[in-house]
Amino acid sequence: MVNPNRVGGFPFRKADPEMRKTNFSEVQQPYSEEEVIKEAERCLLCGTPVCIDACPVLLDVRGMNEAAARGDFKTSYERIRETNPLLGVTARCCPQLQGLCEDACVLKWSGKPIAIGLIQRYIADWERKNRQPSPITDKETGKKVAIIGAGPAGLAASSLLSRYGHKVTIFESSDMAGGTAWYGVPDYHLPKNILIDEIEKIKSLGVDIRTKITIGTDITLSQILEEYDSVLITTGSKDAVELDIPGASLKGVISGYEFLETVFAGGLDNYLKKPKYDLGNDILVIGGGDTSLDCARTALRLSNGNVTVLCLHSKTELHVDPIMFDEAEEEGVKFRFEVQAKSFQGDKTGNITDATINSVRISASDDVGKKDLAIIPEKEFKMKCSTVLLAIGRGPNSFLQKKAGLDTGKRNSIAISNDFKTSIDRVFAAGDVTSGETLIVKAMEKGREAAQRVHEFLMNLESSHVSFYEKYYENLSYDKMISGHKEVDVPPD
Amino acid sequence: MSSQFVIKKKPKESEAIIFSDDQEIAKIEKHDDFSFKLIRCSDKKEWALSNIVDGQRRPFSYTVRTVNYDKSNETSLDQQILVVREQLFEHKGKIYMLASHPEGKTWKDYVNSSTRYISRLDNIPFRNLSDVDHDHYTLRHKVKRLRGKPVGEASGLAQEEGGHRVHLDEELSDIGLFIAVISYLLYASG
Repeated sequence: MVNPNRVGGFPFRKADPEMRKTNFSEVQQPYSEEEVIKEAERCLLCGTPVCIDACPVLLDVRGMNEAAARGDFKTSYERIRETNPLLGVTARCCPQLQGLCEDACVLKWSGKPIAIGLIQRYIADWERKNRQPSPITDKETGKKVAIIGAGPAGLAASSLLSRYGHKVTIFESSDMAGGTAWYGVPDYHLPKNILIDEIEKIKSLGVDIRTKITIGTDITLSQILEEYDSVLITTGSKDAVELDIPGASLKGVISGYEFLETVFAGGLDNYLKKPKYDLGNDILVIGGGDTSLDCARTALRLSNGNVTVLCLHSKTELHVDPIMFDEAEEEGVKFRFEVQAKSFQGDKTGNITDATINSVRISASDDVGKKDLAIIPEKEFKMKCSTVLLAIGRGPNSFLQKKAGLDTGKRNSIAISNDFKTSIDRVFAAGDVTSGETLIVKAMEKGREAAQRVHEFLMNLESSHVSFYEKYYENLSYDKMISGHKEVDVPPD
Repeated sequence: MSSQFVIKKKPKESEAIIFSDDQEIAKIEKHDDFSFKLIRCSDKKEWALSNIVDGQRRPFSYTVRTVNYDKSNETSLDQQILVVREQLFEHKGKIYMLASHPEGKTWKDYVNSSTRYISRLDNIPFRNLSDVDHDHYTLRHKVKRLRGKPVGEASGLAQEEGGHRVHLDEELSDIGLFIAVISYLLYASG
């Protein structure tokens, strides 16, 4: 008997921890076709699909499930591809149970929300084996748009702008497109062949991606504006927060973001042939967010050493994906909570050897939004370490705004208006570069919204703007879908 | 005194009926333009509910407005009673969150539980709802990671026999009916 429902507290089966921590093969195990159909059949096909409300890109979850329950994966794919060009990526990377579709699912009242992510993953994986035509695009407008940054926001924007009929070129400073999805998400979470395939599908819409070109160095923003009708900047997050404590400049104290980029940006296989880091046997990761888990689990796989994550918050107040946290614990990553690094000590050659750590207590403050941090002096302790990976946050990539003189906001983000315009005419910005680090799907959301605004600007449609949510809520007719009416694919507008 | 409500979907009669202490106290009807009307049984007072907040339709958002008609003077008084914007609402100087993950609960407690919590966010870095910058880097995508003190619970689908049940602590009792109705409309109407 098929039983596709949750496996204990987890929404999916996982590879064996003892095996998976020795390599980078995928941890999440997919549903079978039979399981997908059974799971999709459980969907109530709500008249008010809260799951769609909760999806930043308004993925047609209800439509996906309706078709999947009939085994009609072609229709299922067509419906969700409409708003999401990175289906395989988001199926694996979205924290569905943390405020997104599965968290909102009405069947959560019964303790068993639909495994939307796994159904989506199956549909995306099915399409790779059963190629479907690209979504239709509108006729060419003759307008040219340059996008700076080929991360999730830029890719989502390029897909939509291309479908609007514009000629799109993405300029990417790295060797590969994908942004954080390429270099910041380990392969055990997102196999890179998935991302490469989805980027190729975006390119098949006519999007031209040019890598190893840094705007602001190789070409100026002004030069780009001479050739293109509009520019959209989606350069993401980059500027790592630094730890200013004694010993932070010792050898072996490494930015966790730089670590992940070094391991994954050039391809994991290439890194494993010629590893740059000798991590040693005692690795500390300072953080408490998702990146700290990525660093810890990657370091574990590369070193087979002892890995400990030092977190400021208590276990129940951690701001991490709880599924990834459990996975890390299963693999043997250790955690210390309510601690803070005080200083690092090294040997005569300048290599780190130890860390002195404070125990802390965080309590509510009288000030709104603040918490008081109190050090407990008698509970200071030391830990031996050969490497320290710092993952305490990243701000927006500030390079281009400084070079081009764009107005900035908090943490050197690019300041934008409600319609994504910057302080330079015909230049828009979206995603992490305007707000700070966020989820892949949230960056895609903003990329799409900005693309809509760019399109309206180019076609003089700004006065008739209607948000995607309003269009979906008022115009999208799910009744037609359910009654079997044939849907005609139309461009986004 | 805390308040408890049970909302049951009744598509043939109206959108839903609301009970408290086993007594029918109000009903929800569909209205024009994707909005709803809440009608209290005792005095037929009406409120309009719409997901247009701050000028546009938004997910997980509702406004509640009193619609009072002074028939003698043929005037209409329209008063905004409550605003929920993207799961956050303000009441008596405090900010609350619907469907929150309360502090002190592990994620397994939260995920495996069929209860959703309404929490008071004492440490949200904004003083009132109009100050909340939903695109602020600390808030974007982290709304669901904001913890708070649980002051209410909701459970059950409205179409089930037991209905959608909402229990609220005393501090929310004066807007309890509206919170219960919005909880139903946002999460349990199916």
